[in-house]
Amino acid sequence: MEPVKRIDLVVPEIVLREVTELLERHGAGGYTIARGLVGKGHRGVQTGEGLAGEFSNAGILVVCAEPVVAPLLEDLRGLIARYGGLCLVSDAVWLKH
Amino acid sequence: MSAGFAGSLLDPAILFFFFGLFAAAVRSNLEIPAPIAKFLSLYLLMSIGFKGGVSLAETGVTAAMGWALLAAMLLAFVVPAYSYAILRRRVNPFDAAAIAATYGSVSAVTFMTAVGYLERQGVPFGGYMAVALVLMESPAIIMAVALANLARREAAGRAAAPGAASTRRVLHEAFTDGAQLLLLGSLAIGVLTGADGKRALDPFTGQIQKGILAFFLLDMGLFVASRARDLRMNGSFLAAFAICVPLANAVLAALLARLFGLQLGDALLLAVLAASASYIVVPAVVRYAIPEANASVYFGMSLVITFPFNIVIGIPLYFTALAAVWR
Repeated sequence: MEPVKRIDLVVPEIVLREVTELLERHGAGGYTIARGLVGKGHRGVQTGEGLAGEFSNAGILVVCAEPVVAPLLEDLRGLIARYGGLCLVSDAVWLKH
Repeated sequence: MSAGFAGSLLDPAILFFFFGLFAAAVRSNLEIPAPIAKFLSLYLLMSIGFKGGVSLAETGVTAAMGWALLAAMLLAFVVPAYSYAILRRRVNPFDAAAIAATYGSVSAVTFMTAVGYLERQGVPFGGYMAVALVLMESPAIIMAVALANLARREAAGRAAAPGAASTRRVLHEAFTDGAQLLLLGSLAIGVLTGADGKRALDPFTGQIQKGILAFFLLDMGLFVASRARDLRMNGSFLAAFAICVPLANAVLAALLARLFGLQLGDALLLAVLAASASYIVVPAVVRYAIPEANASVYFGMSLVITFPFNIVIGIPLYFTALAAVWR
């Protein structure tokens, strides 16, 4: 078991590429993406319609080391302010295998 | 040739649209799964493009085609420009730009409904009008993104424009958005394969198209009813805009069609393209390029007001008016 940081992101699908590029640039390592999420936030209801995911969100689960978190969040802040979304950071433990 | 409003309402496709509205109004659990709805949209885009391409291969390049495409290009620049000027008096620059893009661009399904209407009336039209549909998709989007960037720069006091979307990506998406590209690719395949291609794909892009359109309009009816709250959110100015501007655009298109000597069928399709508002390509690009704009406003105006108005009232109205002038 190894202590790590867990980042839960929900962002519009249209900016998924930007987010994954940020994760790669900051060396966040692996991530898991769930597309087609719908729900309600401060920008209203995301209903999931649209041919290009323009009204859908994607969830991204990121596990990374603590030093990565601060600079990554700094870059994510601008993106979320512009396009909307959600970012939660928590402590977790990773089951090494 | 017997048009009339009652006759146009008795089209099965239009009746399925009303049936969708009814099903949603009585809170039925009738639902078209999202992946199937997406398939229907993609199918219709492919089918429109392919049929247009085949017709284009049959007729070849003609003077009428040149005039029709010139009229389409003029409308593609004039409509978003004047729409933005009107909208800026009442709404913020980002919503104004997004709505201008929506009304400057076009709706492929409205176009297809008009094609079906002309076929039922036995009125000929040129396959090149599908090219007009493709040409009219993008200019309004590019103009709107440029206007939004200008508004950002002004808000930032002429300094750098924070939050400006990458121009390269916007241009890339405006021209290669999946819906747009599918339409263009299908058109090219239709031109290349012509009548042989039409036979090869029959009945996929031929006889079953009307049934698929009816099924798609059922989904649209359900969807429009579910977004009816946008009607209340938009306010009376934008609701009036969503009816009056399409009417004005149809008149503008009719004047150009008359000036350029287009035949009646082409004039109707040009009027319908000018009067229609995008709800597929524009949201896909504008959500990224102008995120400050309220998507429920431009999407709701297009889908909840202008789309039903055009397919139920607009198409037979434009046709009746045009037929009176053209005869």
